This record gives sequence, structure tokens and C-alpha cells, in this order.
Amino acid sequence: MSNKNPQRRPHQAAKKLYEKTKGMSPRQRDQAILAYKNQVGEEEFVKQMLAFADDTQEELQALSKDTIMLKTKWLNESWVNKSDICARLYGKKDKSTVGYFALQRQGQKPWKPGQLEKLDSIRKELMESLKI
Amino acid sequence: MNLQEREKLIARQEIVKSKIDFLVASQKTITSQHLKKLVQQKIDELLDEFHLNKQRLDNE
Repeated sequence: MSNKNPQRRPHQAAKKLYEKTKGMSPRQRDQAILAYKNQVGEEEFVKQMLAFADDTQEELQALSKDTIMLKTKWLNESWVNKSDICARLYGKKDKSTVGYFALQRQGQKPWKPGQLEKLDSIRKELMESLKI
Repeated sequence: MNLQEREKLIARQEIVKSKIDFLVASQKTITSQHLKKLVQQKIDELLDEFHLNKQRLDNE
């Protein structure tokens, strides 16, 4: 069994190929996969594919973070009264709460359970009030 | 299931689907029947997970 990259964990090697082939046409992707398989050998290739299939957690975490950032992006718009949103979300707008809320908006602090749902309803109310 | 859990599950579905496509494409290149079968087992596991998650999302 050959292995050109013994220091790399199997799932990472397959993940690299997976990422590389994501934007390709099916034909290009099949060719790239075949070339890689020929390079590392069939057994090693299968070992990497199986490890990769089991490892969804890392990607899921990255994706969730992106999804959350996308969902809360509107909070950083210039027309949004952040102080008012903070008061509605926390029931207060003191220095530490406003500071924590700013870090949450920047993705540096996590959202607490129920806060994303609450923000969603605040956003809907705001959009409603903006309608003529 | 709250909104956050639902979004997480939808995100997971995307990953699982994309991985199934990738494994199917990979499986096509394998010549050994034994190794083909191993990959097929993994594809079936992911397919089961995909259908279970779909049922959960549909029933919410």
C-alpha cells in the first residue's frame, strides 16, 4: 500500500480532494478522483474515503458558524438601532450587555439559547414597521 | 426542534448529500469488489442518515 503523505490523517487527505473537486463538472471531478486514486493506491484511497465519510463534525461546525453569521448580518446594517435591539433582546442596555452584544454580532461570542429566534422575531417586527 | 437545531440539521443534510455524491464518484473508480463493497456500506449508512433527517424535517 503506498502513501505519499503519511503524516496527514486519512480524512484530511480525502477532504482536500473533496474540496478541490467541489466546483468541477462531473467529468472533471471523476478524472481528478481517478488520478488521485492512481497516485495513492486503491486501498489507501478507500481508507481515506471511509475516514472522510465519518468526519462531518468539523465541516458542520464551520457551516453552522457561517449560517449564524448570515442570519445576524442585518444587525450590522446602518439603519439598525443596535442599542434598541440590545434592550429588546436582553431587557437592558448597560455597558457590559452592549459590549457583549457587540462581540456576538462580530461572531466572537456565542448566541445563547433562544436568542436567534428572538432576533428573528425582532427583525420581522422591524420589517413590518418599515412597510408603508 | 427549535430554529437553530433545524438550521443545523438542514446544513448537515447538505454535507451528507455532498459526501454521498463524492463517495459515489469515488466508488466508480475502484476495481476491487471487496473495496467497492466497503464504500457501498458507507454510502448506505449516509443514505440512511439522510432519509432519517429528511423525515425529521418533514414531520416538524
